[in-house]
Amino acid sequence: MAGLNDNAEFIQEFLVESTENLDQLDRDLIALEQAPADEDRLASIFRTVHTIKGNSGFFGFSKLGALTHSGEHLLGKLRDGKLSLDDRVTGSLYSMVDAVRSILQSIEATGSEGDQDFRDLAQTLTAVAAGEAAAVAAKPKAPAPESAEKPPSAVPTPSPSVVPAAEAPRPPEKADEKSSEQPTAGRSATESTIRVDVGLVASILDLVGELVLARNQLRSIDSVDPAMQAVVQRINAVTNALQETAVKTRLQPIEQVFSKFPRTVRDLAVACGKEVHLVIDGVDTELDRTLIESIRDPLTHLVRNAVDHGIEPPAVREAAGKPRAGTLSLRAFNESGQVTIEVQDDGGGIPVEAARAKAVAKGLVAADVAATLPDEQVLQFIFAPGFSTAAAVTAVSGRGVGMDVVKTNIEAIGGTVDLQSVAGAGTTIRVRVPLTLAIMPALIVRSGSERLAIPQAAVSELVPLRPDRDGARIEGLEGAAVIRLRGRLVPVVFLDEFLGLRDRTACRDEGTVVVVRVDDHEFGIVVDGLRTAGGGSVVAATAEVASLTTIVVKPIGSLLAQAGIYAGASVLGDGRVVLILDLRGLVRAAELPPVKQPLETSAAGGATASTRDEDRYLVCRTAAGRRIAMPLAVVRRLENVPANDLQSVGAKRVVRRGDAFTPVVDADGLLGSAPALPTDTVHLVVLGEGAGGVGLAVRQILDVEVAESPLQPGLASCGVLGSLSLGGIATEVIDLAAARAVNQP
Amino acid sequence: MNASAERVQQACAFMVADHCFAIDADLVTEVLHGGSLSPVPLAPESIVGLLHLRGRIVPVIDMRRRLGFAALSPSAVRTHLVLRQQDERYSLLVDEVLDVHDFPAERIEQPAKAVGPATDAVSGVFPGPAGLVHFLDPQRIVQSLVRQRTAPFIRHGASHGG
Repeated sequence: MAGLNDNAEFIQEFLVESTENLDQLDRDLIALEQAPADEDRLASIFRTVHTIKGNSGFFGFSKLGALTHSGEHLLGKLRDGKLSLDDRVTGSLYSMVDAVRSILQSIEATGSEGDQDFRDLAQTLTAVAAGEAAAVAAKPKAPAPESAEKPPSAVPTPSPSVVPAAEAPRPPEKADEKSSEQPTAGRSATESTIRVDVGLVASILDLVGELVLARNQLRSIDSVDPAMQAVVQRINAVTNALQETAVKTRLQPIEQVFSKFPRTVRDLAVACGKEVHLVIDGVDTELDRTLIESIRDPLTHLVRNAVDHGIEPPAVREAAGKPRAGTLSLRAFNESGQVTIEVQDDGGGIPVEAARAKAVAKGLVAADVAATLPDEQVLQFIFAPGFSTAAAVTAVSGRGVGMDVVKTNIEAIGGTVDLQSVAGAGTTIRVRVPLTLAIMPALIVRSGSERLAIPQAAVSELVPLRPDRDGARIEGLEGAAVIRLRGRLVPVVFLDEFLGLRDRTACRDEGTVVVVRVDDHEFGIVVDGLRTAGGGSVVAATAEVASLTTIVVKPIGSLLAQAGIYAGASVLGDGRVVLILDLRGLVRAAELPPVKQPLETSAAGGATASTRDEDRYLVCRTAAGRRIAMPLAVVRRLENVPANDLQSVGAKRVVRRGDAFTPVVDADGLLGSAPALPTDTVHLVVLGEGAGGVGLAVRQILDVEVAESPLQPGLASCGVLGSLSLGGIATEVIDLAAARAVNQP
Repeated sequence: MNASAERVQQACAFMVADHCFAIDADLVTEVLHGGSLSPVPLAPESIVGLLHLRGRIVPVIDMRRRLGFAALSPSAVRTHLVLRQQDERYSLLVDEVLDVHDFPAERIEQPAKAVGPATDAVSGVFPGPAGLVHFLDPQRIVQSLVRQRTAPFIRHGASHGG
């Protein structure tokens, strides 16, 4: 039994090693194509294939053995100079790498080599080796290695007619004596690294975190004993160093992602009929292993886009006075605690006018606004869902996964995507991601008696509330509070109220607004104050740096993660647990509206402030889910009433305020749908006398919005005056006459 | 004893509001007394906080609330029964941990139909010498929590469990 387990373990090791070797093989083959005379490279390829062959024999994987044997035979011919490298040879070698990879995947998934038959491929490999060898023999003047670039007749798979019948594939059992003499040394990396289980690394990090806390407690103990002080000092230093080192164990070079790209680019370029020169820089840049996985797909997409849409066909390039081959450059480097990855091509760039037209056509922006937009802002539309400027959907890109997905995926790990494009000169996309998700800078805020962490990457600014001066203050109605930020209205969430920590009362005008951006949302989180990790309070809200702390993110388990409000937790220096806010969850839970196109708001600028009152509407959602609005001017006040406080007077319901009764009408009832009053708290929009002074019961008060279109009376229906666009969404405006009618006897 | 012939279920027994419960002993990683909890706003009602356990953050389920008994005053010293299930840890806050016992599997009987928070997680009942021992299914303890919405402030009376 132990033997079986051992074998499984060896096979696992074999799979991991072979997969790595295949990546290396891809790189080597591409390098060899560019420099066919590189004997070291050829030797390396030969060794790799030989190693896989040897191992597959050891584990009894006969298909793999047969295939790699044929490949090795071909490589042997190449190495001995009996064959020169051309498209046929490289094509068949690439096919072999793919086949080996697919067999390995099958072994990993099912434990067996799978049903696929690779004998044809093995035959092809042998034929290529033999056929070419014959041709070379016939022509004493062997073509120079540089000839690899050309022949138009060359096809990756040779037609069967070129296979000389006499040259049957050799049985794989027959080992190649020559190759067995080949030394398999030369992989320095494997000698200086070890494989460690990820779980082990995680537990080391946990223990180090624990040590840090114990160290903090130790430091807080007063001791006059100099020997003790010295020891504490040393433990302090060692702990710091240990923490730094332990974090590094999670990091892996970005090469793991980049290594696939030479092959991807080559295959794509062939498929698109383009010539692409790939330049890769900074493969040693390190990144958390979980992030490596997360950036793999977005980066692949960017690379595909660059080859498919960015770089022009050779003829077009030549006509434009550019070199035939386009250059795609991938660069990774560390920059201020983040990792930046640049995907740059020297292609045609993004056609700005096409993007502009598309944006208008898609209804993302009004035509007149679009015409005045600067090019950089038009380019941002590329990140809108379903947006593509490519005229034709090609087989390579345009498969529904667009730049919006790239952006979403990168932002999901706390990163950003920037795009620059110069028509005719190319496009640069800059992806910035944090080094690790396990540790992140966060802002520790205080709300009531609680402390919470807000990921710093999302924080755009801190605005102190100063009711006494000209500073920011909370405006707007209850449930739809906003602050003005350079002419923009930014919705705010009161953290204490949101978390149910306490009823918000007088403290409305004090505290700090933490303005955050997440996806398409910008909103403010009103907190009591900012705290340093140590617990000291930050007096000046402008002290951005003072309350920024690097925290170790810990999972809180599925029980709490499902609530969607917390992204995790962390332990502060004093040992207290602090919850990390999940800002996307907050957006969902608080039902915050997305920002109108940023361009629109900035273009509007001061216009927001000067908007006439009659253009402002209060937007609500009814219990039945309808989005309704009423002119802000007719709204007298907003109330939250416990459902129990509603009293029946005849057929009507009223709520008593002092001596006065406010008639209550369910908004859905007014609109002719079935009333569905909530059972706990009723949100009332109490209208002015002009509208009968009734209280309109709604499920939720959403926001105050400025009308973006004239009222469309054509869309009127029962209780509805018409529709208009508020916050980019068509909204029904209630008919005040209908509300007034409710209060008539 | 002919214990060797009988299939036994090793379970950790504990008390909640004068009732005896038991849970598969293999899941229990440790037992802790006291320990300060950090509250979690908007958490399901039974989750009374987070426990910092040597670098791990462990959600704490107050079994009195979970099972629908009267809550104890926050100052009462209670015991954490830390469980590990599928790589996740959580703590059950109980009144008292008794001991790990071997229960003869044949004598653990099917519970009556679940009717409320006190019974929906009970997977079996054992007639012990000092009263019934209720076997709890850890998965069911957690499942209903996920469904449970944020706490309305309604407490079940102590009589509920009696």
